[in-house]
Formats: sequence, C-alpha cells, structure tokens
Amino acid sequence: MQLFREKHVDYVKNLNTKTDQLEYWLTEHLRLNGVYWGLMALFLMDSQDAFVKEEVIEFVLSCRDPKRGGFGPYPKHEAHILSTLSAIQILKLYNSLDRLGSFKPDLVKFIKDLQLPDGSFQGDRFGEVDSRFVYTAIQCLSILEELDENIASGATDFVLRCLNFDGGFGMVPGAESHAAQAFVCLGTLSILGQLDKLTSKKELISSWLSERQVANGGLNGRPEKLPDVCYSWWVLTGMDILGCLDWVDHDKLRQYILSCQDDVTGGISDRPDNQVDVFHTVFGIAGLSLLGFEDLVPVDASYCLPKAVVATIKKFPYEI
Amino acid sequence: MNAVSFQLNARNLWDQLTEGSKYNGTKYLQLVPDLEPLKGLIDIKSTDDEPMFIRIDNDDAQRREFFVAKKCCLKLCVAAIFELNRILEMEERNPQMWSESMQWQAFLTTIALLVTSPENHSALNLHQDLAEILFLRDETILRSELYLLISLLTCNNAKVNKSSSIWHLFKKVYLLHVVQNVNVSSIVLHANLLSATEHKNNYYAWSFARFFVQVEWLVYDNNLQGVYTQVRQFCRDAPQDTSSWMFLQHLMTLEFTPKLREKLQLDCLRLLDGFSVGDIRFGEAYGRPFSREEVREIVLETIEWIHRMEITSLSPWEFVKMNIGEDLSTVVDQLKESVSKFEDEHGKIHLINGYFETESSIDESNLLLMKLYTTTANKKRVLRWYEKHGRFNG
Repeated sequence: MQLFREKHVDYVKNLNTKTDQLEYWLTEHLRLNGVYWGLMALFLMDSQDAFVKEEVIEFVLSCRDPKRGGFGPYPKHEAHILSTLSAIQILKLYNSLDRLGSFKPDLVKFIKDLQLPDGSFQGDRFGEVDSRFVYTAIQCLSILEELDENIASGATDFVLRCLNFDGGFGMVPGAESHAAQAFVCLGTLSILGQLDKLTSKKELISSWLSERQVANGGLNGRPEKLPDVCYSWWVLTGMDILGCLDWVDHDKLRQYILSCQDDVTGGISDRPDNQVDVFHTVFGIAGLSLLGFEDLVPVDASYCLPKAVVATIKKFPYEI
Repeated sequence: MNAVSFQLNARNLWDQLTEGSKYNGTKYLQLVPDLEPLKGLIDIKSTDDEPMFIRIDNDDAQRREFFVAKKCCLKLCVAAIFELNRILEMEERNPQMWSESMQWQAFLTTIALLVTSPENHSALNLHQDLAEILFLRDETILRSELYLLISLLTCNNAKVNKSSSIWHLFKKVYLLHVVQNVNVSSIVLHANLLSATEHKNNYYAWSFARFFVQVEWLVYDNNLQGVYTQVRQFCRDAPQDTSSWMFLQHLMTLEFTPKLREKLQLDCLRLLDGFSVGDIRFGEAYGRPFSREEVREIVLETIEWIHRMEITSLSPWEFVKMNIGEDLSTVVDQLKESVSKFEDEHGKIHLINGYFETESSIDESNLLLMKLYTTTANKKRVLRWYEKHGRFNG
C-alpha cells in the first residue's frame, strides 16, 4: 500500500470549508491546534502552498488574547498554553515570528508566569498541571529563544520526577505511565539539552517504549491498549530521541499506518476503517517521516516541525 | 434553537442532572443516537418539542438513568457556542459586574458546553468564575455542581468521561466540600469507580484516585482499607484494566511523609485559589497504609488468583512484577520452572516488543493452547523484568 499523498492534501485543504457541518462548530475550541496539525501535515508532504499563508497568519494573530498575552484557540477565546504553542509553531513554520511585533514581551510573560514553584507548568489560570504543559511551554520559549536557566532547571527537575519505575512517564510525579507523557518528557529534556540526566535509565525507558508495538505492527499508549496511529508519533519520537528507533519493526508499523488511510476522502484515522481526522492525519504522516518512508520532508522528533525549520532555532543553553 | 429556547433547554439539563434522587444522586447519562425507539417513555421534551431526555429510575442498578439524544445535544452545543461567543464579545467581561440573571444565563451556557465540549478552556474558566460567585450566594449550588460533575464523569461519552479538565474541576469541588466539613468521600469514590467501569483504562479517573487517597489519609485519617477492598474487587473484575492495577500498585507503595503532606497542602491551596473559603486542616499521620508484609501477602494472593482463574491478561502481572523481590524469590523460581516446562513441551516463546512469537506453529483454533502460550509469555515477561531490574520498590 502507498501513501495517498494527493488525497491527504485535498483532505486537509478542504477542512476549513466545512462550515455547514456541526463538527466544524463543535471543534471551535480546537481551531488553532487544528490549523497547526493541518499545516504541519502539508509541510511534511511539501504542499504548504495549499493554505494561503497570509490568511493563516491573520487568523493566528486574531486569536491573540490581549488581556493575558497568549493565544486562544479562536478569536475572543482565553489564552491557553496549548493554543499558544500552535500559534507560535505556525508563525515559525511561515518564518513570520516577526509578526508578533510588540506583542512578544507579553507573550513571553504569559508563558513564564504559568510555571509553578515545583518547576511544572499550568495550562492557564484554571490551574491544571500536566507534563504536557511543561513540554508545550518549553517548546514555546525555545522557538521564541527566551529560555533561561531558572525555567530550564525547574522544568528538568519536574519531568525527571515524572519517570516511573517501569520506564514510562506520567502526567505528574507518581501518575501512571503513558506514551504521550513519555514524548513530552523526553521532548522537554531534549530541547533543554538535558538528556544526559537519563543515561542510567535509557535502556529501561527504551524497553518500555518498544513494548508498545503490538502484533499487527501498530503502537499503543499503555500495556493492553489497542494500537492507535497517533502513538506512531508519541512513541517513535521518544525512541528517536533516545537513539533506539530500530527497536521496533518499521515495516510492520508502516503497513499499520497506511492501513488507516481513507482511500476515498483522504486523511488518516486512529485504527483501520475508523473516521479520519486531522490530528491522526498529521501524526500518521509525521511517524512515516520519522521512519524515513514515502519521501516525506524530514521531521524533528522533539519539536514536530520540519528539521530545516528547527535548524534555525537557537539551541539551549545559549552561548553568551 | 433561539436564545430563549436555548436557556430553557440548558436550565432543563441543569435541573435534571443536579436533582437529588432516591439513589443518593447517582445518575447515568447516556448519549444515544436517537430517541425514537423509546418514544413512549419520553418524559422531558425540549422547547421545540423534540425528544430531549428519557429518564428512568433503575432500581436494579441503583441509579437514575438519562438517555439524551445526540442530535438534541449537538443542537444545544452549537447554540451554547454562539451564546458563549456573544458573552466573550461583551464589553464588560467581569462576571462580578453582571446582573444576577445574566450570571445564571452564562452559567447555564457553560454547563451546556461542559456536556458537549469539555475541553473548551474559555467555557471552563467562565464556569469557574461564575461558580465562585454562585457558591457564595447559595451553598446548595455546590452540592448541585458535585452531582452535575458526577453525571458527566460517569456518562458513556468518552470525551466527557475522560476529560482531564472535568476531572480537575471535580478535584476542586471535592475539596470545597472538605473545607466545609461535608464528607462526600463515599459518593466521590463511588463516582470514581463508576467512571472507571464505564471507560476501562481511564487515565484521569485513576489519577484523581491518587489525589483522593492522599486527602482521605491526611485529612480524614482514613486508613484506606475500604478503598483497597473496593479497588481490589474492581481490578479482579477487570483484569485487563492496566490503570486500575497500576493504581493498586501505587496504593501498595504509598508512603506518607512530611514532604508529601507539604506538597499536598500547596496543591490544595492552589486548587482552591479564587474560592473564598477557609483552610483545610491536615493531620500528621505519617507512614505506609500497607506494611511490606501486607504487600507481600497481597502479591502472593494475586499470583494465586492469576493461576486459579487462568488470567491471560498482562496487567495483574504488571502489578506483581513491581513488587517482586528477594522476599519473593520462591515465586521467581516457580515461574522459571513453569516456563521451562512449557517450552520443553511446546517450543520456545520469543518475546518481541509487546507481543510474542513461537518457534513451532500454533493451531490458533486451539483456544486452550493459545491461552497457555499467552500465560507463559506473561510469566516470561515478568522473569525478563526481574532478571534485568531485580527488585525495584523497596
């Protein structure tokens, strides 16, 4: 089976035209994230021109929450760290961070103020804490080149405390291991240049991650769960970061991802024959890119951005 | 659905989901594709005369059940989104400055959104802002909020049931009851288990449980034996539910220290930030709810159960492997012997990532043999862990 590249491009391109469908309105609170997922899928397929750059940038800027400084998922919505990362990633993909202009100091303040004394980050003023938000905030600050030692050491300590005895990572210290949390914790350490802190645990973590591959080739997020295409990203990235990508069977995984494509509408679903969505589409394609299949644009495992884009980000710790 | 109609429907939803019932508030909310087949039972209609709920008191299950038509729910959601956007566009964004009726209207809007799109953070923040005002004005609303959240967290819709934000809000509402010396522990634990029953491997439900047992121990001096008994039963009824087994593992190794107490205190302060309430009084009982000897007994009992019930799932073994150590070396020897005997008879089992392959071809229609292969592969996985990592918890 092959990647239905053109169909996927069409699928993503048409997502924003379905305003007559209920689903479009029901996902309003995820709109900016959705734009990033779609745009990133297009970038990986080298088809970014399917979106009109200026329209996308204008939409991103219209989502800014002037009261808080970050970005909401839709105009007038409250800023949250998740939608803020999507905004920054989109601007970075378009090499348009300069469009932040005078908003940038407030944006950086919004992100930094979300860090708590134990080094974790909350998503917004609602106060939910999760290693997802640590990763999200650290990636934001990295792209903006605004990381500092204080923030980095707190975040590092927190994610290291999320490592469990079984080799997985949880959402907070002591929480159950989950592959998505492994991605965010390893991604955080990678961005901060702190992977050496895991040296003695590398094999343990790699084993836990590789055990996510099940008999049909797909990857699951936890023991005894069904495989899901998005874990092709959450699990593989961790393995790539740790340098053990070859511990899983690439061909079997490729077949699994490709079997989740819709050959009529385009798009990729979580499991074969399920309804496709843009979230699984981007992470399926990103997984294939990480494995080096289908002649896709190479993706960076820590940022989920094209490697060429990440190469332009200043690495932390910054040289004085 | 126009604005007036929306408000009436949202009010209807709130009234139904927050009403106490003969089952101590336990409700089961099910989103169903259509209500047509059960038309005769419809007792609540939406304003445009479409079926909205079916309500049944289920004595067998000891709960009030609501069947809500998805179509109606979606209409409500879209109307709520437009209403929320109208509120977000208002010049005066501070709910403190709104009239009482406006506050209620906005509160009902957020409830419709909690039911249909629980990760809408603007709606969640607005809901909390309004809750802070309304709880102060009328203390019965706090109990209503608890019932509402229980309805959502135990409902059959995964998006709602497994919403990390709703579970976070549930923590706050539970703590507000603790502050007011209203003991809702049994209702809350019951809801936690109901939610986990409805959706297996419910990550956020079991994360909440970790928080819950800390509060129970440090505030109520609860020795957690009751929690253990109920969770143990849950795990045995759901051998494949890794999340519940990992929670049980957490319970076994839990140790209350001054540092943990301090951390919990800070977390609670943060969770209650914004609500004008007093402090929580934390006790100073430190130590382990389960001694090492008790844990050893529980592990041995679990292994005996796995064998006796011929459990094929890996999760109970995941629980065992985390507790296996020098004091259980006889168990390790028995596992080695069992694996070796099986492989001598049926050929080697190769563990590959999360699955296994066999040297000899297996007749997959021979279910009994397949079961033996699976259980032996599980044992082999535990042994591999032990050989690589030995005793981990101590």
